[in-house]
Amino acid sequence: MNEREEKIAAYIAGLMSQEEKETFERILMGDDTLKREVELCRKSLETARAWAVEEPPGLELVDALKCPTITIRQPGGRAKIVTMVRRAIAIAAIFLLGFLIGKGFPQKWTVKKPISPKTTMVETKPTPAPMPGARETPKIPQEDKSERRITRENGRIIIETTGINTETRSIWVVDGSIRIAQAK
Amino acid sequence: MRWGRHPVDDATLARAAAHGEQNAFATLFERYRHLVYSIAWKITLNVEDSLDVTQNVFARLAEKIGRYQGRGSFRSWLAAIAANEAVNILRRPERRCEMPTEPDIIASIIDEKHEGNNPSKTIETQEQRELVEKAMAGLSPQQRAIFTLRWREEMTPAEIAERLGIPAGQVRSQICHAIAKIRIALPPETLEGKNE
Repeated sequence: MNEREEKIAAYIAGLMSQEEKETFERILMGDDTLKREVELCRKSLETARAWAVEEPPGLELVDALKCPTITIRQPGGRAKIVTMVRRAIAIAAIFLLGFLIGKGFPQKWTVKKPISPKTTMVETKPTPAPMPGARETPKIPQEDKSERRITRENGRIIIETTGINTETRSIWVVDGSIRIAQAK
Repeated sequence: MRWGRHPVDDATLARAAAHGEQNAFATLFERYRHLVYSIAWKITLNVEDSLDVTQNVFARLAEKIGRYQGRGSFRSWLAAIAANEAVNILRRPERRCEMPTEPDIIASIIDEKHEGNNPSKTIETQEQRELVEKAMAGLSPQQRAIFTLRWREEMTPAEIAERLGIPAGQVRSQICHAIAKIRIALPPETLEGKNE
């Protein structure tokens, strides 16, 4: 099928867009050969359409056919019960999970680590390098043979040191970043 | 179960049949068996195949009528099922070797000539009918199916595409090809005086 035949067929069958149709009709006005071809094609289609709606031979034989019986399969019996039980289990599981999440899991399910009274963990951040020209932090004098007392207060760790020989008393306060206060 | 004096619409009958109402299904069968056969014949061009198609279509419908969603007309839905089934029956490998050749088709058409049973006055001569049938035999089964749904059932190309599950562009090109082939198969002298 060439392009010309295709266009004629599309025009006859009403498959052209409005724009295509107008362009084709403009060409058709000035082309008698095309006009004749279009007319023949239209007649062919009309004949074929008439044939398409005609009663076919052997139509009376259809009357002898028997109507089949409906056999629609619907879920029922054991399969239905199994489906219902599965659904019930799934719903129960969802509810149980929701309840446990909402209430928090029972205490015995969680393991708590006992905090040793002897050890005290103190987290410190690394001290940043001093900026050039910045004032140096005064050094805490080292004390030999001293007594230490560590207490917690409002989340701070207070380390109290009393030197035996020097009889000096220092208090270190640690809260997150290292801040040290000293008292004598 | 009686369906009263007034004709019940197809969608209601289909819904009732989907719920197991045998009488509703029987009404649909009565209403559409000729249509299914006619569409099948226009595609297969053979009486036996058309009877097989009709039987298969209604047997499947008895199982799957619940698939009709009420979208579009029941007639179009059923016509497309019939067209698909007719195309499928021609594609079956065991069927291919039995496919009659073109002269066989024409011979069978002449043999099966339904004398006095032609309601159409638009096909003017037996010669014209034979030529159209020869032209149709020259189309592919899919082209015949598309042609039948387009010009017999007045379905739009988009509707045909949706019902047959093929692209709309393919439907348009198949329609054009079919028209061109028919045009070639029908000599101008046989069309003389037509609608003039």
